[in-house]
Amino acid sequence: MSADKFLQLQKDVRHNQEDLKAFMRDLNSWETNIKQTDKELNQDAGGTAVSSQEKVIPPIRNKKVDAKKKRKKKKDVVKEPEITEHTPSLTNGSSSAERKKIRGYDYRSWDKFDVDAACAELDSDDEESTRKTQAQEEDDEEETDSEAEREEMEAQRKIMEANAEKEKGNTFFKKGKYEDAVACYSKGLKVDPDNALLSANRAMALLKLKRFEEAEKDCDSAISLDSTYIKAYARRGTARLELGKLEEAQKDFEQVLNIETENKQAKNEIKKIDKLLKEREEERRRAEEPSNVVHAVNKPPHLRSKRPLKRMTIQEVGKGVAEEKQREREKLKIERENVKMQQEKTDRTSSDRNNQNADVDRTGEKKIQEIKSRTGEGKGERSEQKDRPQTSGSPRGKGDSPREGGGKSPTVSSVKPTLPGVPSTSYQLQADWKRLQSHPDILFEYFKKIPSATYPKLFQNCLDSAMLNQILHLLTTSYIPSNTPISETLERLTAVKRFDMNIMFMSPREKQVIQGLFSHLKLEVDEQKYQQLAKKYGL
Amino acid sequence: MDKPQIIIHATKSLNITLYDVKWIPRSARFVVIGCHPRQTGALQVFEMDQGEPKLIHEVEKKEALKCGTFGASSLKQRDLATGDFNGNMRIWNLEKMETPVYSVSAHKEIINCIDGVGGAGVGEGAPELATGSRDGAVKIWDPRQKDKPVACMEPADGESKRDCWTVAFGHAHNNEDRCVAAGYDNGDIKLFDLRNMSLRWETNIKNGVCGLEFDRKDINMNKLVASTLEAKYHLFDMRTQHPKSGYESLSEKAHKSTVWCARHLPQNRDVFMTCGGSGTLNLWKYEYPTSRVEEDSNGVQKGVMGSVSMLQSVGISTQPIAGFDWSPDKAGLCVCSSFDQCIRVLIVTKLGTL
Repeated sequence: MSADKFLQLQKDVRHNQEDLKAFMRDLNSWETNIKQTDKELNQDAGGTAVSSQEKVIPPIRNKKVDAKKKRKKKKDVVKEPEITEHTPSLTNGSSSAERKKIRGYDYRSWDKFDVDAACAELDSDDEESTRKTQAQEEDDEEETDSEAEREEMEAQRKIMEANAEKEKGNTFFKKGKYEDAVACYSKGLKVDPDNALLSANRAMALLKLKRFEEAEKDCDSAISLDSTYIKAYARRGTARLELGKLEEAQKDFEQVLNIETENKQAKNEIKKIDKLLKEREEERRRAEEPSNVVHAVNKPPHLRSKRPLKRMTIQEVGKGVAEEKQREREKLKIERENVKMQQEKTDRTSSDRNNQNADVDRTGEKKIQEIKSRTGEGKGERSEQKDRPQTSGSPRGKGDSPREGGGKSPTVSSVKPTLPGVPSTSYQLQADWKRLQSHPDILFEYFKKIPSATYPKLFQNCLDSAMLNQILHLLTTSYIPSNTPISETLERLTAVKRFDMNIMFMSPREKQVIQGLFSHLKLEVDEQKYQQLAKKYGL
Repeated sequence: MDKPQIIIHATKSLNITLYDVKWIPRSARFVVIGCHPRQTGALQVFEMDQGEPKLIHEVEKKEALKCGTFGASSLKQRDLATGDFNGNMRIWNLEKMETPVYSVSAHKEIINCIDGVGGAGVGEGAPELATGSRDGAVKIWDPRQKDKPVACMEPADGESKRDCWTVAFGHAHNNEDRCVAAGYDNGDIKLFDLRNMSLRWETNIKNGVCGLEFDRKDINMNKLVASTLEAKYHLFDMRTQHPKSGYESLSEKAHKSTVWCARHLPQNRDVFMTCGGSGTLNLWKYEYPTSRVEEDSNGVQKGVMGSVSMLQSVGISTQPIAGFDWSPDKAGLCVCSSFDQCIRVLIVTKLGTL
């Protein structure tokens, strides 16, 4: 038994030894063989020798997944119109919502989708029966699948290439090599012209190179590709600012604020532009105005320091008063004659009415006022003529509406406050407003002069319901009759602080005023804008 | 007595800590991955010369290297992908090892494990690498895409980050299908389906998962072996997934210490070697049941486990065996690295007659 076992063991050991020996021999021959193949492979790797099995390697994973997702989305959208054909508005809404989510380069795929969808729809039209259509569509899908995939792969490759260029450009940009950066971005754009990022980045580099026109163009294209791209707006704004297109620049920055309300840069830029615009306005006015007299009238009121102002005013006012008095005297003469003629014709009621006029406090003037208003009512043309001398020299006078000219006489203006310049601060506006409150015509002139874009800045927190009502009243009584467009003012007002609150607490009567304004506004703006404004005004 | 024998063919003592060892495909060379005592990375290439491993070149890298794979490189290129202690994933051309051909800061912390598929004739589809790290993330990389992983599986914010100890590719039997299994220190095993980009299955084996390997990467998932911290390994039948209970499994005690890894024989997928913390190697064979599926009470298909039998057990060291690799070209030839700073070339006989 044990001998048996021992023999068995011995046999096993011998067996194993033989096995091992065989293995070792094998190993040695294998070693030489494998070394040969190894060497060949290494040499292969050195050159670009043809491999025995040129395998087609599938694309990089996430790209594939992206493409699939996209295709899936496409399919969904293609199906949607089919199902909900009788509710087109709904479909549009959802698809546009989806579109919003997709950024930059994806737009191209959407373009493609449109074509596909159109094709599919055409097909379905041809085929008539819906079931058939479905089958057909599936077939189509299968057929175009590989093709579409290849196309998408190609597109993906391009995008990758473009991104690589972008990265390169960005590094150049960081190093301050703007020329090189521009070159890189341009290369990238050649490969992938629909990349909003690339154009926007190139625009930035161009800005640095002070090539503003090109920068503006790049921003244009970036914005057309992605209308919510804040940076593109900001950069275009900067470019336009540098090009001196102040209004457009301002619009761009406002757009930035529309998208991102707390954008500091945009706010600052708008402030800067406002200042520049004002300066420019001033310059233009100065250039237009021929005599220094008007210059003086326009300048003094508020900005000057007190001391020189005092001295000046004494001189000027004295002069002005003297002149005016002389003119008045002349006019009075004519007036008196008129009065005589008129008084005979007119009845007492009108003078009663005028007696109540609170504006007139001086007894001497009262009469004139009376007369004037009456003559104005009767003969608008004539008083308008007289109106001229008062505002002569100022281009503003020419634009006066007949009604205004008719209603007020030049003589009264001596009592009336003078027309102040465009206010630059909220305080100034408030002061002026208080002063002019009772003179709607001057208030109108005054208010008209204020660039509507500056409302939010000027009004700040001072827009109360009384003021708003006054403005609205002004619009009703002065703007509309004089055919001055009101849409701009109405629109800008909505941007003023506390506007919403004021609207909220309006009485029905005040609402009626707005109602009236809007019935006029309808003629001025298109439906969409109208609706938009109406909503803001709580109609 | 046709039991296979495990024979130490050659032993080579080195002066570096060895973490991993890999045969270079289609060659008699293998590469040793580890770190020098001063915590710098070591890459050493040995070639079998008359049965003796001979060092042919060696480089020292700044970061200590932890793991490596040839799985995603073509036979023409045979570039080694490595993960290091600082979370960098690099791919090296072994002929020119001065600079990596691909380099990415893949993880915030040490890369514990790396696996590749799609190259070297292993698996269909794109070449891809999977890295698992202490930062809890498993990332999939395509060497054709710079800087960015093609997929990233990580715990959501707020979830506790488990240390990922091992990753393994599988199911790469066509261009689209592909799975990656990840094992974590808390015993979680997660199977990610890379085609659907979803978690396909997860389980917990109540013990840190040290090693995971599919029996084959390039076939429809067949078996998965998970070795654990405490002297056990689990074998899952991955053919049939039950909607509730998932994959069937068996567990087997081995080594009386940590089972560091399990490696399937490239020439026979039902034979695998487990490496123990006590310096032992166990060779196992899986026997399939007569029917691999059965129906449960509800008529849903469910996997049926077979059995494993130990073919051979041998102690070769006093220290854990952390790295083991079968030669893909020569059946029965293998190399292992252990923490006693030795590499051993082993011969396993009679594998052809099993």
